[in-house]
Amino acid sequence: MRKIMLLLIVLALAFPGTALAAYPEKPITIIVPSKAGGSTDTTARLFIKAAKKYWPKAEFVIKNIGGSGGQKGFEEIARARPDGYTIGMIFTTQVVAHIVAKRARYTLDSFHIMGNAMQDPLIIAVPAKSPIKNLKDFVQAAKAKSLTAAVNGIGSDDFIAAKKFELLTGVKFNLMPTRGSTEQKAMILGGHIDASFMNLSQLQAQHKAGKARIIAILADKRSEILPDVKTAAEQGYPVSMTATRGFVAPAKVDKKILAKLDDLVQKVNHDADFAAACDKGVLFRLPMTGPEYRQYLEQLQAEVQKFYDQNPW
Amino acid sequence: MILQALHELLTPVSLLAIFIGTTSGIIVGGMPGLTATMAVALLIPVTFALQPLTGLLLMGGVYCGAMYGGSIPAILLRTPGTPAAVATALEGYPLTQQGRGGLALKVSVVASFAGGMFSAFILLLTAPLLATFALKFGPPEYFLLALLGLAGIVSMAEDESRLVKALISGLLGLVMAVVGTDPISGMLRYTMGITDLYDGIAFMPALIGMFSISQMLELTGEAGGIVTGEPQLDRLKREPLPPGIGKPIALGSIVGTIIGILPGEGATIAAFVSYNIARRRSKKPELFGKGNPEGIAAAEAGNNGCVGGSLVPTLTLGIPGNSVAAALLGGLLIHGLIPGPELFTRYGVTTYAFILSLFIANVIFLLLGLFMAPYFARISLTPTALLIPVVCLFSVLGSYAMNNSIVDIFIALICGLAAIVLQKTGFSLGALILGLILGPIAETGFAQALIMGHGSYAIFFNRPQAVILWLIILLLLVPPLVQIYQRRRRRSDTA
Amino acid sequence: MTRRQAELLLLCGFLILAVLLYRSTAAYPPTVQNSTARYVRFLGLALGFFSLLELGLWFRKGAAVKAEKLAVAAVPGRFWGLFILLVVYSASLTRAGFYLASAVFLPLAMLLLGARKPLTIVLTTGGVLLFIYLVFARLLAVPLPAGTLF
Repeated sequence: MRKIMLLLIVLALAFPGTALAAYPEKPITIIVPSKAGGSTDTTARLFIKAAKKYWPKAEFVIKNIGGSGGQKGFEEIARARPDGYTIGMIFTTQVVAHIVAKRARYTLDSFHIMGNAMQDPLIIAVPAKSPIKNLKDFVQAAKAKSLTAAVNGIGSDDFIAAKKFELLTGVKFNLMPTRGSTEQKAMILGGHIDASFMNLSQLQAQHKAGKARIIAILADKRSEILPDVKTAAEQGYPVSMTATRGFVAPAKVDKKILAKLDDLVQKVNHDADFAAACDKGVLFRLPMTGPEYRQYLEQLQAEVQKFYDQNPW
Repeated sequence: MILQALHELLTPVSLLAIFIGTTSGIIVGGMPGLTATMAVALLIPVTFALQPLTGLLLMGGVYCGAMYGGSIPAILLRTPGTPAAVATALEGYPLTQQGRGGLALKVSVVASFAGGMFSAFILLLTAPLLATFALKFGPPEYFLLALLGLAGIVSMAEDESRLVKALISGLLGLVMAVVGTDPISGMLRYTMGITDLYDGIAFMPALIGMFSISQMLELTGEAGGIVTGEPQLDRLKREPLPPGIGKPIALGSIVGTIIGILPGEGATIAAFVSYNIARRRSKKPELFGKGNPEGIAAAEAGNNGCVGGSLVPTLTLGIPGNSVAAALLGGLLIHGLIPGPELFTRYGVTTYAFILSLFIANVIFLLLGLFMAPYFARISLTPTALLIPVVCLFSVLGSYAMNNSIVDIFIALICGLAAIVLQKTGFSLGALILGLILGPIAETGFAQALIMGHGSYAIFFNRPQAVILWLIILLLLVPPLVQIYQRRRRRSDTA
Repeated sequence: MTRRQAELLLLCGFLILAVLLYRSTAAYPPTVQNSTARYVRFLGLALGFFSLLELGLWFRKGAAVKAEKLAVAAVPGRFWGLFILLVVYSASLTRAGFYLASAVFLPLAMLLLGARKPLTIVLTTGGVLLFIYLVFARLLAVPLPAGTLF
C-alpha cells in the first residue's frame, strides 16, 4: 500500500511537468472566457479539431471561465504562466470595454495577439408584428416617441452599436440591458420591446422563420445567409459594428513558441474543413493576422473610450 | 415521419448512445460541480466523428440522466449534485438519517421518471403551441414569478416567530444576491474588488457550503454513520413505495413542465415551486422538512419535468430554456440543424428521433435507479471517519470546478460555517437559498419592467398574464397566513 | 454564549447591515436610482423592519425561555480541526496542485476523525484520487487546480 501512495505522489508530481525543447509536449490549455456551448466556446472547439491536423501530437484542453462579460477569463489569460501552455480567446468589444471602464487588471499589452478567427456583425431587429420595416421607419418612430431597445449589458458590442446609432441619428433610445442574447430573443419574439441590437448569428434563424424581423445589418456588405437584409449604410445610415473572436497568448511567452502559435492560427484560419464546419454552424469567419487584429483592437478601444467619456457606466 | 424516426432510433448504435449518455449523465449529475452543461459542451466535438443523430442522442441522454443523478447525493449525503436537487435534499436526507435512504432513492427515481416522461410527451405533442406561451412572459412576469417563488418562504414557516425569522432569512438571501454587477447600470457593487464576485456570489458553491459542508462539519459529532439508531439493511433494500405520492408527482410534472418552458434557469425554481405547492396541498404538511416522501416526489418530478419543457422553446424558437439547453442548441447549430419550423419538417426524422430518445433515456434511468437504489443506499452506512473527508474533498472540488475559482471554495467554506450558526439560532436555510436563487430574477425583472413601462408601475398590473400570476401568488400566500393567525388566536385563548 | 445571546447578536448585525445597505444606494448612478437602487433600498427597509420585529419578539419572550447554550459543535476538536484542515487544504491547492494537496488532506482528515486502519486510509485515498483522475481529468477534461510549486 505504501507503493500505491508512492505511485500517487509520483503521478501527482509528473503532471505539472516543465516546458522543454520540443513544444508542445504537454496539453495546451485554451481559456475560453464564456460558458460552455456559446459561440466563442464552439469556435475554440472547432479550432482544436482543425489544429490537430497540423499538430497531430498536440493535445488541447478547454477551460471555460465564464461570467463578468469575459473579464475573469481575460484576466486569467493575462496572468497565466507564460510557458506557452496556456493561451486563450478574447472577444470584442468586451475585452477593450473593461480596460476603458478601468475595471480590468490587464491592458492590450498584457497579450500577444495571435489573430482573429470569427466575427458576428451587429443587427437591428424588431418584432415580427412591428410596423417598422426599415431604418427610415425606425428613426422616424424613435423620434416620435422613445423606443425601448434591448442590448446585452452595458459595454457590450450591442451597447456600443446602439450608442453609435444614437450619435449618428440624434435619437435617444430607452435602453434595456439584459442578461444575454437569450433574453433579447425572447423579448423580441414576444413583442415586449420595440427593437433589439444584437448579433446576426443569434437571430438569423428566427428572421428566416418569420418570427422576427431584421431591419438592418451593421456591416459593410450584406450577409450571405440573409441576402435580403440591407446594410445600414445602404439605407443611408453608415454605422458598422461587429463582434470579433480571436486568439491571444500571455505577452511574455517565448518568441519562438509564439511564432509557432501564430502560424497555427493562420493555418487553421485558412483550412478548408474548418471553413466548412464554420459555415455549417453559422459562424462567420474573419481571418486577421496578429498585427492586423491588434490594430483593429486599438482603434476599437479609442472608439469605446469616446463613448465612455461622454457617459461613463 | 415518427415511424421513420423510430426506425432510426431502434438500431443498436442509437440505443447504445442513449444508454451511454444516460449513464454518464447520472454520474455527472451526481458529482457536485460537474454539470450537464459541461458534459454536453464536451460532446459537441465528439459529435463530428459520429452521425449528428448519435451525438444528439448522447446529449439528450446526458441531460435526462444528470437531472435525475443530482438527487442521489442530495438524498444520501445532503450534497446536491445539481442546484435543482436542493429541495430534494430537504426531504431526502432526513429519510436517510432514519435509515430509509433506499426508499427515498426509489421515490426520487420514480418521480423523476414520471416528470421526465410527462414533459417529453408535452414536447412531442404540443411543442409549437406551447412555445407561444413562453413568449408571453416579459420582464414584469419574471418579477412576479420570482415573487411567486418567494411566497414559498411563508409556507415554510409554522408560527409567527418562525415566520419572521424565515422572512429575514429570505431577505438575507436576496441581499447576498445583490452582490456583483448592477444589471442595469453595469456598476460594480459590494464586490470588494474581487473579480470572482463581479458576477455575484456563485450559487453552486454557496449551496455546497450551506448543505454539504455544514452537514459534514456537524457530522463530526457522530461516531458511527449518517444513520442514527440501528441501521436496518432489510428495510434499506425493499421498503415499498409509500401511498399518496401520485398526487405530488402529477403536480410536480405539470409545474415543472410549465416553468421549464419559460426561458431562464428553470429547474431549481420548478423544484422549489412544486415542492411548496405540494406542501400546501398535502394532508400531512407537518411531516415536511422531517423526511416526507411527498416532498421528494414533487421536487424531483418538478426538476425532471423541466427537461422536456426547456426543449420546447429551444427546438421551436431557438431560445434555450436553460444553460444545458443552450449547450444543446450549440450542438444542434453545429450540424446545421437550425431551430424553427424546419426542424420539425425537413429535419423531422432527426428531431423526432431525438425527442423519442428522451423517453428511452427516462426508462433507462428508471431501471438503473431502481436496480441500484439499495446499493447506493449503503453509502449512508459508511463510517463517518472515511465518509466526511471524501465528501469534503468532492465539495471543495465541486465548488472549484463550477467556475474554476479558488475564491468559490472559500465562499463555500464561509457559507458552511454561517449555515450552522443560522440554523442553530432558528433561521431557515431553505428560505435563504430561495432568496439567493430568485434575487437576480426579481431584481432584473423589476428594473427591466420599469424601463419597459418608462418608469410606471402600472406595467405590473395591466397585462393579463401578470394579473393571473398575482392571483396565484395570493392563493399561495393567504391560506398559510390565515393559518398562522388562527393558531396564534387559539394559543392566546388557551393561555 | 447562550442561544438567546447569539440571536440578539445576529439580529443587531442584520439591523446594521440593513442600514448600511440602505445608505449605500445613494452612491448608485442617477440612471438607476428609480430601478435597481429602489429595489436594494426596499431590501434594506424590509430587512430592517423584520429584524426590529424579531427583536421585539425577542424582548417579549423575555426570560421565559430557559437559557440554552449555543453549541455550534458537538465535538469542538474534530469540528474546528476539520474546518481548519479544509481552509489549509483549499489555500494549498494553488501551490501544491490538486493531487498532492488531496493526498495529504484525505489521510489527515481521516486520522482526525478517528480512522485508524492504515490500509483503509490508503485505499480510500488512492481510490478517490484515481476516480477523480479518470472521471474528471481523463473523461471530462475538467481542469483541476494546478500547483505553482513545480
